[in-house]
Amino acid sequence: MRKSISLLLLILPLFGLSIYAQHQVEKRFKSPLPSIVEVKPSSFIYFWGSLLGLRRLSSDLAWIRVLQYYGTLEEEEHVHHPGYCERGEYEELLSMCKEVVRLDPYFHYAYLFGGGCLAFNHERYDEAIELLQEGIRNNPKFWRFRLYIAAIVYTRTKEFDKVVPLLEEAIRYRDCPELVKFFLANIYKARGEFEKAIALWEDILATTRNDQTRAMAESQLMAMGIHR
Amino acid sequence: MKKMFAIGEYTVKENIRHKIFYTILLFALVIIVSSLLFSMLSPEEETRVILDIGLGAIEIFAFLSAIFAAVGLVLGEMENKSVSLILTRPVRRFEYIWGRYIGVLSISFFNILLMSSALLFLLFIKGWKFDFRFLLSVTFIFLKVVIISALAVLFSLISTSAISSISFTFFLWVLGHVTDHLKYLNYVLLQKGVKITVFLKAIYYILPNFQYLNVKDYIGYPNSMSGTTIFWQVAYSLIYASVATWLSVLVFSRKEF
Repeated sequence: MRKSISLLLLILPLFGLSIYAQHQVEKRFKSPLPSIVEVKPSSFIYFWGSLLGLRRLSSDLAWIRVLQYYGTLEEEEHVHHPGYCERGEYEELLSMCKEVVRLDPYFHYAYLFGGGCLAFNHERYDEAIELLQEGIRNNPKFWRFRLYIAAIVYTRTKEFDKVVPLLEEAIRYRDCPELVKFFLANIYKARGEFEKAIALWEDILATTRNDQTRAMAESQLMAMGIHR
Repeated sequence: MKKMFAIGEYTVKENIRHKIFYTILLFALVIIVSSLLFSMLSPEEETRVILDIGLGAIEIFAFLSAIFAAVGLVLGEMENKSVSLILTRPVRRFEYIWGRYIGVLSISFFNILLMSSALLFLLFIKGWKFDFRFLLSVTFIFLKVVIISALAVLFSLISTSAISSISFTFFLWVLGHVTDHLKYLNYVLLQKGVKITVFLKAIYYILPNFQYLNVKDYIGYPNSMSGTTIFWQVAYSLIYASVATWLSVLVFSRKEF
């Protein structure tokens, strides 16, 4: 009995100390991730991933799902809903990208890719800006989102003279999605600046690790009369 | 102290003889290597996917190996009464529990070290630039294991079967990642006029808070943690684990063999 009491006399102050330490952590550290209640994940995998402390991994899985969705021909896999947007393509792209960035609000590439696809491939400018604005809210210091928004706004108003310098700046960064390079190359081509367009497609060809992108760059170069 | 380390050493040797130890380690390495396949699905974010899958696998398998070691060894020894043999020697009960615990932690440390090296190797192959936060993430995974192993030893002493103690430990692992939601629950209940704040606060402090140690999820977070925060996080983990281990000693000291 005396042994138990002496052990309790050791455990209780230690427990008090643990509460104090927890309180100190609480004062200094607030989880930067939104609560899973706010995220409302669409799949139980992401929900359980978050419960098990694998939030970033859940975000990656959601991201791979986005890439699979966007990389699959819509006619084959998805129901087409004309009238949803101008082109009626990949209508779930925004919501899927939003889920990725809500699971991990610091996933910069997901904002850039999602925003770029929505604006430059589908002309869904409002949705692209909505996603990028969420990026700015979560990452106020990541200025490239502002650059993309400016480029999107000028694209929408067809002010390509203003778009080009912004995109030229954007493609200087390693995390610039390839579709932005494609978009810029197409603008060069449309403006008759063939040398710049060819240089960009060659750059894509040299740097891409994606077979589909490589094939697209090759076909563009072949169309310009350059065979590799 | 010497006796404690002798029991720790014996625990490590015993664990290494178990097939489950190698199975878990093999599975972990397979998952880490298979992250290369997943990364192919997202070529632009290749290193991120490898890093996340790798760190996730390290955590899950370190957790599994720790609970199997903690629950299996202590409970198994009590079931087959071989614990009496050890206790007939000049070994005090607290030395036995702490020795077992140190042994389990040594095994987990070795596991984490091996898995992290494999992951680092893969990342370097893929041209990843070393980030200090990787070391911090791995260290904090180990701290989580420090806490959960102590709880697993405690549950193996309280419960009567391995399955129930593993289930309890797993349940605490999940709860430990959502303790912050207790505040939200309290807020919702208060709005509905239900006042159980004291009760929820008690649960909040009794449960381990793994969210504080989940650095691998904040690896992309731009504001790095300060040295003081890290100090308190480490202090919290060690103190909490020692509370759980001394509780195990208390339970064990009241057991009769």
